Amino acid sequence: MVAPISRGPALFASGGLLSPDPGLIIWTVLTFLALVLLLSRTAWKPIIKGLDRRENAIRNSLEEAEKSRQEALSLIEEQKDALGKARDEAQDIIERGKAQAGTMRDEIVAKAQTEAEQTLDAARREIEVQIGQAREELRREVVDLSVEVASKVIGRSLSDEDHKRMAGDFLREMKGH
Amino acid sequence: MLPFFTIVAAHPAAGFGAGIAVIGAGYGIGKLAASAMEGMARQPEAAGDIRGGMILAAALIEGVARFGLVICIILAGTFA
Amino acid sequence: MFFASGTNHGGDGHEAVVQDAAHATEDAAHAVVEHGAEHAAEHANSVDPMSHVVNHDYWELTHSIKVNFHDWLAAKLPFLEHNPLGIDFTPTMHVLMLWISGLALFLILRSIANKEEGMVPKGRLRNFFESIVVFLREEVVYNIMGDKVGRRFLPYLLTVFFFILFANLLGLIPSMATATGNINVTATLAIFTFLMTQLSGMRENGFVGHWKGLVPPGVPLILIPIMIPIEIMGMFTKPFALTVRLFANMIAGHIIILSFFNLIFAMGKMPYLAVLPFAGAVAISAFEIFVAFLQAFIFTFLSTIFIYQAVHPDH
Repeated sequence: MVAPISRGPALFASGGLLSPDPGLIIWTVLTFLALVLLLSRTAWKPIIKGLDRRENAIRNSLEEAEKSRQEALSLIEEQKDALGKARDEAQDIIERGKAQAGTMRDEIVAKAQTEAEQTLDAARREIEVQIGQAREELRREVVDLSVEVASKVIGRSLSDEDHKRMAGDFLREMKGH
Repeated sequence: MLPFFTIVAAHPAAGFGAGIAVIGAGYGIGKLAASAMEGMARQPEAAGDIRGGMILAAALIEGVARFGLVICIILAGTFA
Repeated sequence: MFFASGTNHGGDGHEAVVQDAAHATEDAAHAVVEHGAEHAAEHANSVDPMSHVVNHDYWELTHSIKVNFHDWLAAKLPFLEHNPLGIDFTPTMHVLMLWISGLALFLILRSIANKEEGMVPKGRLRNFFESIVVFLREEVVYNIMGDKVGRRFLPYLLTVFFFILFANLLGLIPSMATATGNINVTATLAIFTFLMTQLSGMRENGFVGHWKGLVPPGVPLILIPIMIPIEIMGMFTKPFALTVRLFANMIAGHIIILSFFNLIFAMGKMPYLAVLPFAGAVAISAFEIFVAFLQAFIFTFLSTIFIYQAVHPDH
């Protein structure tokens, strides 16, 4: 029979705050041991197994997801690479085309220019030649006409020799001017 | 009536003891919390660990303080 | 039936009134705790905090209704009390509380464990317990001991935690008591951890190796005679500290709550002022829930560290 403590420092006495109670100790030992054995068999084992299984499942799915992500990433990277390469190539082609067009244009222009110059030169030379010829012809015509006019004015015909001499003088004179 | 000794010695001693235990625990927990806060402010990424350690250490200090309180309660002996 | 009611602290009530008249026998009537002159409190409306935290033979359901199962059991099974060992094995209130908390723990955990294991966890109760188990496993046991050693001690440490937790929390339920507020119970639990420490240390390092681990390597020879007594004292200090910490925390918390209750009664002339101690009692009770978890955790945490120190003495 344990009576509640009401007064006095009866710590170790029966009913005190620190009273030893062998019966309680034995019951605690029995209860605790039974609980450890019972729980480790019926509770902790399945709970921990379930936790482990879930953990593994989550880890596996995470790993798989990571793997798929990596794959997708590498695929995207590949696609990007291919796209970039294609773009570069297209750019290259355009550049090359542009460059080619430029050189072609330059060539054509240069060729046209030289041709035009050549044609111009030829035309100029022709004109000069023709001018020279025309001048010569005009001069001869003028001499002939002058001689005819002079012979008519003078009324006498000049001998061929006189004619030639006069014409030569005249020409010389004209050239002298 | 309570015994004379209880009134003149045990109860005052228990009261003083409880007060001193509380002062000590308060000082200890205050210092602990100050350092922990400083640590958390300095390293916010370690705040979780620091908080856990702080609670654990505070509980240990508090346990000691409560031990002192129980001694005082025992000293007082009675609540009648 | 061992139901009986009486007025323990009532000022004028002196007779034990047997509630269940149909089953009242001379035996049961005799078993009823004697009230009145013997244990009557000096004030009609006051609670003796000390008498509420120590062990009793009866289970006090409320202020005046007591179940005196001890005498009833002692009469039915006399060998519990009178045996060659000279120890009174008849269950007391704290034994009953241990059984209640153990049974509750067993039933709850079994209902959790027996559920069909789906990959997606369901149910609040299950989530609550599983999160605690995971926390203890990952953050405490495996973190300190490592996976390999931790796996072996996990069931023991989990049982320690939940058993202490349930016993702590049970005391906060009205008409229940805290078995962990009894130093015999906490000492027994600490002795279990002590035995676990010593036995696993001896199993892991051999008998000689375990005792050699008392002295840290590299200590000068001349210090060894000083070191050995100190280390042996330290060996026993650890379970002692575990015992006293849990015991003092639970006892102190309950005494503080009961002191607030007493303050409520002390406001007799100014009833409206009783709001203050009432609020205090509520606040302290809430804090005690936290303390119940914390002390269970600290006991487990320190047990883990002690066991690991014994298994790996160089750490």
